[in-house]
Amino acid sequence: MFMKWIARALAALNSNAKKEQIAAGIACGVLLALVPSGNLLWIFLFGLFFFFKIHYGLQIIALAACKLAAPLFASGLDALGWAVLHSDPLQPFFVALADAPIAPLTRFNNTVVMGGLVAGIALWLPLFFAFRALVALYRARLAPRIAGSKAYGAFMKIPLVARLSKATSAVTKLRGALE
Amino acid sequence: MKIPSSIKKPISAKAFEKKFAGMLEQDKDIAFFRSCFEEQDGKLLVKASLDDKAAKRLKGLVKAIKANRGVFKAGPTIALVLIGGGAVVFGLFFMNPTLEKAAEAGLSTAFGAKAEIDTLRFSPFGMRISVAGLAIADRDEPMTNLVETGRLELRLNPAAALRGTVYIEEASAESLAAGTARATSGALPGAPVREKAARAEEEAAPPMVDLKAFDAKALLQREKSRLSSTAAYEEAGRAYDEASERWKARAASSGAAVDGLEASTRTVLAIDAKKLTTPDAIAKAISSVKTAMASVQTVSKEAEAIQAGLKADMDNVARLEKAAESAVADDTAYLKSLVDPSSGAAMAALEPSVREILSDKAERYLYYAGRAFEILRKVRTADAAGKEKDAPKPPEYRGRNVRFPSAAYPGFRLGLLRSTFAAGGTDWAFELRELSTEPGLVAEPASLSLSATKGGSSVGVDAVVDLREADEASWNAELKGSGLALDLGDALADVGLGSFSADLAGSGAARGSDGGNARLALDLRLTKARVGSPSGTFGTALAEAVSGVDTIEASIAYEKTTGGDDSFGLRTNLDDIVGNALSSIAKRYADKALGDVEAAMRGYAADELDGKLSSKEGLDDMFSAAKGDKTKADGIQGRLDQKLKALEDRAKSIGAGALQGIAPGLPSSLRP
Repeated sequence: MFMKWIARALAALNSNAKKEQIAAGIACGVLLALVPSGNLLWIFLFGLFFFFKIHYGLQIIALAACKLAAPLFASGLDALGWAVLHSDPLQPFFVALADAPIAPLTRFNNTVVMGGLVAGIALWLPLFFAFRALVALYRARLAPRIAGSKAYGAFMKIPLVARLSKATSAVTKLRGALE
Repeated sequence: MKIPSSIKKPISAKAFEKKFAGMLEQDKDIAFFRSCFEEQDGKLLVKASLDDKAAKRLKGLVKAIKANRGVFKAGPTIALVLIGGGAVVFGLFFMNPTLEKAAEAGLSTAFGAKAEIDTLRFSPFGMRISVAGLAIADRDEPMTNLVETGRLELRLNPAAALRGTVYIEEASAESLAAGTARATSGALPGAPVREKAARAEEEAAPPMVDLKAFDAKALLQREKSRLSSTAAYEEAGRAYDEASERWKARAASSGAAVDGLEASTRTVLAIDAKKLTTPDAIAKAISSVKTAMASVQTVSKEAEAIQAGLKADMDNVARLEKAAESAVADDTAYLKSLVDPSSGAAMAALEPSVREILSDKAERYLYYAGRAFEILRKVRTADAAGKEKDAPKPPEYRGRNVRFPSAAYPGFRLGLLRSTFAAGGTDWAFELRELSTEPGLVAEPASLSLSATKGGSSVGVDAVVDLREADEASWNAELKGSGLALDLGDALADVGLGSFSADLAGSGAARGSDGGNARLALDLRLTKARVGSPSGTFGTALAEAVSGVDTIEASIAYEKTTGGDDSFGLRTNLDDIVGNALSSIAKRYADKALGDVEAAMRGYAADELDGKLSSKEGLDDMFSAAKGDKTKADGIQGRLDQKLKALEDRAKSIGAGALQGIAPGLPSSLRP
């Protein structure tokens, strides 16, 4: 399954998929990775991203990659969340939130959840613009060179890669039919 | 190959770049797409001469353009609409039956018996639940409903519901009834059958005596089984019989032995010492005397032992006889008390009947109170047990939870259940407040207010169950009533009251605690008391007495202790009232009746009780005989002693000093 996501990601980079969708997918994946799962906030964000035209495959890849590295950021996110949750100007808001019907189910009062949310939102726009620029750069400069190289030709002849390429084209068609 | 219709229409160059070419990312695809259009009349139109390959590629690019256009996806939105539609279908066709079954299961678990809900309807937008009827069976009496309601309307708190808890802010019931009969058993399948606690055997009421037609002998015969003197005399008689039997054979044997001694010692005692002239004859005679003395001593000791044993038994029996005589005096006093109007007989006669009437009702109401308390405790305990489980400590990277002050909701909370309804001409009002699984999260304790009004009469109960402190769980209730019509029917017929009715008013308090202990105290005032068809002295006197007094007061205390006997206490001014009423009758009849009782008791003691001591005379005779045997044995012993001394003196006188040489042949006692 994960190979399909990678295939979709490679296909997206070399297809007509909008670079904004690819960049948004990566930024959303990072946001989901920074917020611990198992609470209503994560479920809500995950569901919400379904409704937007962002690249799902790259979102999953970014999520999986960042999730593996999440413990490395945990102490930083914890400190950030602690600072936000103890911020005096925000206390009335958090007290009201704690009394609100559904809000406690989001575990907003957890330092890592709050830290991850704040960090994810703060990083979203920089990541979006950065990856949009990178995708544009890749498509304009790197992709033609790679496609024209002998190594790429040899690489594409590898049976597994050939099957992968075939699969990506099928997936791209399927996506087009669904969207 | 067919060209997609979305690109068939002529389009301006500006719009073409924005809507189509601008939506593609790959330069070669953009160039191809542009090459597929030609300008006609200032507008771009797809070329008609495209071959199949180009048309196919164009079609793929149009799909990519569509995918890149806009921000929102159509698929998930459609899925959301479908899910919403599914929820509506579920809500319309399956939600109510599912909720109904879940509620029935929950209530069955809480009450330990079948719960039946009729036509549950839930309105998720108004957060309202309506139920056409609810019946919960009584776990201990499966053919009876613990509670049955008419139409129920519940209003839920949406905030609590979104937090996964049930908070019924207000509930109203069209009608409420307890203890209604069921057509089918309400026992849960496999539920153990609970044994009802056996009621303590009721103490029989003392007999009522009709002084006008008093028959002392008849009273004695009726009361004979209750008299203690009968048993006391029987015990004393039995003791006499046993003692007589125990000593009879031994005493006879001892007497025969004594008689035998007289015969066997006659020869020895007849020996004339003066006629004996030789040492051998004297020695032989002394030996015979000593042998006889040994036999006499044995017989004498036996006679003494029999005499002492008989004496001990006779002392014991005499004590029992004295107790029996004392019992006769007590029985005489008891029989007199039955005809003495000032001895409390009226109250003693009434109490068992009143106790039976009141304790049935008290037990029933205390049972309901206890069951309600038990259910509340069960719900609370289950919740507390759930909290006792320590949540696993999260790993470090899971972060820390910051506590913000917030309103906590119990798992279940019933803010108010209210019902006002009319049943059987009575107006009922019922209010139950603050019932919850976590009473500690609710500011007030659970409370129940119940009142019933009919005409000029009313009954009210205000109860409070405080489970907020688990260690001090308790309930208490205040009761009050006025203008109640009390009709005991023929419940007091045993004491000569064909019927009894009065107007009742009073107040009381009940309280209970963890473990099933409960106490009920009532202060009652009866006015306008009426007695129908009185019979006997007591019934007649009571009828006259109650018609002449304004108020009969009664204080009732009923206590139920877990593992112990229930206790019931009744205090009333009825005894004084009846005693006064009986005093005039007593003047005329009681003195004679008392004399008759004494005479009857004396006759009974002489005729029947004394006969039970038939063995007494035999035992006395036996004791006298044993005493005589001892005396006889002692007399023989004395005579033998004298005979021995005479023989010894004779021997001394014959041989004194002169019997040198033959001394060694003499017995040592005769040597000089």
